[in-house]
Amino acid sequence: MKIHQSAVAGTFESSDLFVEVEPQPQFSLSVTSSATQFRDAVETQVRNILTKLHIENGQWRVTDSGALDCIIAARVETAALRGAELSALNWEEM
Amino acid sequence: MNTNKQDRKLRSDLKDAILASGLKDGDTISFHHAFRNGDLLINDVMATIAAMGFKNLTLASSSLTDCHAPLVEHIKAGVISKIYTSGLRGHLADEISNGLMQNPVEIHSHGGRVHLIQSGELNIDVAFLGAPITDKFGNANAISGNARCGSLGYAKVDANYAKHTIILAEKLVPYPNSPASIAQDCVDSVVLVNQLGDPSKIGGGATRMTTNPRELLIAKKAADVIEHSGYFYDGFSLQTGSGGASLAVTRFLAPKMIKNNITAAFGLGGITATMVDLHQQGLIKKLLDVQSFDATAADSLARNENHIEISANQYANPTSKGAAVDQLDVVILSALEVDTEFNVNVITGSDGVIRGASGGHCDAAVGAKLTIVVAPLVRGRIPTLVPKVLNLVTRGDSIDVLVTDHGIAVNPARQDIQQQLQQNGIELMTIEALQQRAQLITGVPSAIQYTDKVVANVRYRDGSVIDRIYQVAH
Repeated sequence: MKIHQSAVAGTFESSDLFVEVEPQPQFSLSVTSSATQFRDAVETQVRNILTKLHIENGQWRVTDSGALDCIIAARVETAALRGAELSALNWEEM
Repeated sequence: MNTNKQDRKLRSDLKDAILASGLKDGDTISFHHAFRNGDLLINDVMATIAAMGFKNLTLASSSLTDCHAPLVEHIKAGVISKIYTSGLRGHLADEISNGLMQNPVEIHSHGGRVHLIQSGELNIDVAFLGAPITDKFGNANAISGNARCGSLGYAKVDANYAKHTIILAEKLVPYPNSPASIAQDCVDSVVLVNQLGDPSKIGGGATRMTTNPRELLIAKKAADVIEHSGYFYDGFSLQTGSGGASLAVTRFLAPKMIKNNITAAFGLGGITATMVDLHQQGLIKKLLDVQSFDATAADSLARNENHIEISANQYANPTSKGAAVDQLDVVILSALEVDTEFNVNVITGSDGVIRGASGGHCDAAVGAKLTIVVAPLVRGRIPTLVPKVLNLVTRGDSIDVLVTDHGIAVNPARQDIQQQLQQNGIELMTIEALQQRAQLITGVPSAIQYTDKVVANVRYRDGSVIDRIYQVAH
């Protein structure tokens, strides 16, 4: 999956995650979290999801407000689809 | 014949009163926190004291909260070098957790503060006590006026023990003012100020009535626990701590009281509108009020003869000749963190930063026959129930039941309560199973990093240091 366009998903509400991605040839990721002791866990999960989606480019910025794993997955996958101009995930790969 | 005798306590302004007090560098000054987050007095007095050039003072307020952020500048400038308080929140708490002060803050409970005063550790030189209405001789109360805050239960102690007591009031009434929450024989000076507190913020914050469905669920479960605990009998007594679920328990208890023809002998503690409502319905016979949490409670104190003002010494001091918590049957308390030993943290957040208050938590927990802690199992991604609390305020041996939205756990030391609840069909879990459930939802957090600097000592109600709060590392 390749990021072609700017995209966002999620909100800054408590227990949600906000994901922004800008197209760029290289891959970069920054993660901040209001739940500081879970910041590393959030980053690990975001990287795992992006790896599964075969994403190797884009400038990714994640702002976590204490989201649970299921929310993190939903927001990252949605931002990826929007950035790649796709309408559905390949569920068999997930 | 001395014609000035009757006006001898009146001072022209705050500065005049401070000069008359004989305040000097290194002294201890005290305040009460009944104006809660609407307090304007502490910041005003500290600004005046700073402008007069005093240094190295110990600040002993019965508690401090968000609105006291300006104290940070007085600490930086060396005006304040030591703090005694029940709680710290907001910017001031963040700065102190980040190592602002050389000397650790002493965090005490409401009962423990009186103990520290009586044991001589906390020696108040000058008490600055806000009370909206006074006469010129210092008979003062807080049951009317814009900044009415109701009970002056904490201030009563300071007035009794301070070497010099200043009443700061918004209005002067003819002598003798009654009822006198603070009496003339404890008062050295009287000074009028424009405004003591912001009425819109005096009753609010931690004592709001919740509409959050999860908190209501927890409150309903807690009311079921009380009903079937064996302590729900005619003439029982009740205290509810601050916090949404804790306050809402009363709402679910009232219909059970009516149905079972039960009235409570007394309600204790910080008194709220909900408690007043039950009192006026005849469901709670008397209210013992150390602090009025909202204007409804303050007005009730003025109007209802069985709504009784008590001092912090009468409320919760473990070494007083009579603390009301020792007569208490049921208390419902909140928590920031609980661990599998039932230990409770109400002072630091999950990031190790101070953002709470010891309050009457350990006092009521030890005193009551049935101590219930109510809390959501997780808050967002933050688990409330953890393997070990970051900081200890109330020891697990004084907690009997934990009620969460995911289940109820009884302290194994209280087999009697466990049997009572099970016989009445209340479903229970072990606290370990509940903790595993929390961990399943949130995952395991990274450990908090601290430096070796102690930023606060948590004092137990008997004055002993029960825990130390360390500076968080970044």
